[in-house]
Amino acid sequence: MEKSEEIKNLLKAGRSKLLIPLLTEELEKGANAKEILSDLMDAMADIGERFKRDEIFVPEVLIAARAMNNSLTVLKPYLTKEGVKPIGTGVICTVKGDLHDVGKNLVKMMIESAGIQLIDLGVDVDAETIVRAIKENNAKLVCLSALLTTTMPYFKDVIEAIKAAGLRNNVKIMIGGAPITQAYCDEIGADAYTPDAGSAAQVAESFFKN
Amino acid sequence: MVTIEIVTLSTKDSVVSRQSFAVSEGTILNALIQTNTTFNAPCGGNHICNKCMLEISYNGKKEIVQSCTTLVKEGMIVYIKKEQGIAEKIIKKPLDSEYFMCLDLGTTTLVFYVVDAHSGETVFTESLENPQTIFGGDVISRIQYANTNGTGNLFNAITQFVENEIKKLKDYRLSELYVCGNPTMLHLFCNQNVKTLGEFPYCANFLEKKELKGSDIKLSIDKVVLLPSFSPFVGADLSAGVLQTNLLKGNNILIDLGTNGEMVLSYEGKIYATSTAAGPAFEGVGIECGSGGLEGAINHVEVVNNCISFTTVNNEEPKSITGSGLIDIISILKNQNTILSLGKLLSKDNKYYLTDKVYITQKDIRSFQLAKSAIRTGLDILLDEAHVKYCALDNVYIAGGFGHYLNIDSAINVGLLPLELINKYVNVGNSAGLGTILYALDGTNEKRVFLDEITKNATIIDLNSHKEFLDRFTDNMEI
Repeated sequence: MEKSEEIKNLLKAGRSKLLIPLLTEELEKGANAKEILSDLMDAMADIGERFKRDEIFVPEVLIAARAMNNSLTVLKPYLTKEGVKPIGTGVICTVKGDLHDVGKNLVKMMIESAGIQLIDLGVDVDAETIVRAIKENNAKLVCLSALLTTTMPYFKDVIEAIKAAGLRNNVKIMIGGAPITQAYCDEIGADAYTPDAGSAAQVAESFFKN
Repeated sequence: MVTIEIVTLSTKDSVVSRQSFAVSEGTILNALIQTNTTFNAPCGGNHICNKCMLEISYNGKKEIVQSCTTLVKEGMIVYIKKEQGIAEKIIKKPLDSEYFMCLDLGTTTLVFYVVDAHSGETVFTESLENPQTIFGGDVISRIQYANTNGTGNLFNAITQFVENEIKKLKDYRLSELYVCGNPTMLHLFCNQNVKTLGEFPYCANFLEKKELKGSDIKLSIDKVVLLPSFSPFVGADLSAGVLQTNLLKGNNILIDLGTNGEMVLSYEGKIYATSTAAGPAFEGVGIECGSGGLEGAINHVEVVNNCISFTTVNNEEPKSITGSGLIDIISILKNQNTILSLGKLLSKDNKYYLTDKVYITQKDIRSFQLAKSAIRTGLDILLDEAHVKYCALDNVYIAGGFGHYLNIDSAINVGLLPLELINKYVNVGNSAGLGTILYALDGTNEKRVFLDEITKNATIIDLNSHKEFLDRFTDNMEI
């Protein structure tokens, strides 16, 4: 239990250099990888929550997320051995015409920290590619990002393409980016709008729990 | 249709004009567009910025509402505040000479100049709010408006406005008009489609110099010349700035700290340019008590005898805070450890009060961090890509109205600019307008040919595709 708090604190502070040896040592000693993962996910959820409340900002979230990424690399073989699988799979990208991916990358790291596998399609992605990726990965979640009011209308095209492919009932669609509002989300028929990466992870997780 | 009354008030709340209009049903903002009313709607009616608040009176009840979400009703009275800052200066009455008009066509502000074509003297200046601000405060929201409604309204708004100015100044017998501005403004000025300017891969219909007949764009002037631009996001206002600052004489950089932080670097005779998505925080948008340089806006803050003191525009009672004021106060709070290096504000209710009405919030500091990091990261990467060190620069020219009030020590203290530039800072005021005048008066054509060449041959650095952008952007958020 003592170690559990230490792991959480090191992750929140983004101290990879201390965290990784500790995790390696614990795992070699036979600790349960699933329990460690759960501690790490709790710590990231706390980071997300504090980000949501503006107490911390992008730099703190990013160093914690990097530590999380490093930890997952160490944990992965043990998790596989224990038969632990991601709670679900989704795809994420910035939509056609939009190159700004700072927000998307942050959201991706936070959602992954909630135990969801995300296929990152990158930037400037068209509807066709998104539909194909949903099919290929059997994704249940689609996360779309746009920074500009000129590029956000493309969300609608993506939703239409998903409908046309007969996949609308298979996936939850989340949207985000500076100009997005809940009203816009309702207007285009997306499933959720979240204003920050912390809430995005919470909402994404809720989709897989229900 | 419903009938409403629009009442224009002076800053002292006296009635300037009052007129009834029949408008179609919809939001108040839409009604203001239909009636050609000058009004500021920074986010273009997207319900985000909360800055298009105005006072209305309906059924004898007065209230403050958001104009883009409130619907007009029969008999509603809408009050519009006429903002000050409109400066008209007649320096010399018309003589028997030939005159040119020069226009710095900014997204927010238009600055008109009349120059004597023979003596080169500037005889008249006036700055006015861009009438397109009702369609959105920044370039992107104007493009979005054009994508949805066509370019017609935007084109008519600007050209009618300029035509009125030409008519007003007819005694000067204006023969030519020279215009600088960003490519979106220039496209809209000649009614060209702007859709491709709003999305990757960002294509302009034209970047080169453009000569038109005034009648082509409904203006009663013989000839119109649009100055050349560097790229879809580094516009002719920067080109004009290059002329005015004589940028190529030495290793210099010109920075415009606007929504789209534009920068042009001259190093050993080569030209590099980039632009960075800073957002409108420095113009006060997205800052709770933020504003541009309006009357009563706090534009400079300093510590005197351990007390915080500030100045406001026109020394009026403090009502809001400008970008330069924001940078100053963040710098001061950093020194007092009230703001930690990663931006956390240690203050009650996450607010810091400068007066009982003007304050900054934790969220404002976050918006500031994003804006300043975007500028700084753009600057760092531009110099890196050109293999130039800060110490190799001779001058840093800061353009725009905001540059005028920027306190260089504060800007360095908060990390907006690097320490190495401390003695190299030159405020160049309206370099765009003054550069356009130089261009207009260039009888030998030497400057025009020069500008055509450098805008064509400049190396444009694309920040979006830079692999270190996210890491550096994150690092530079530190205050």
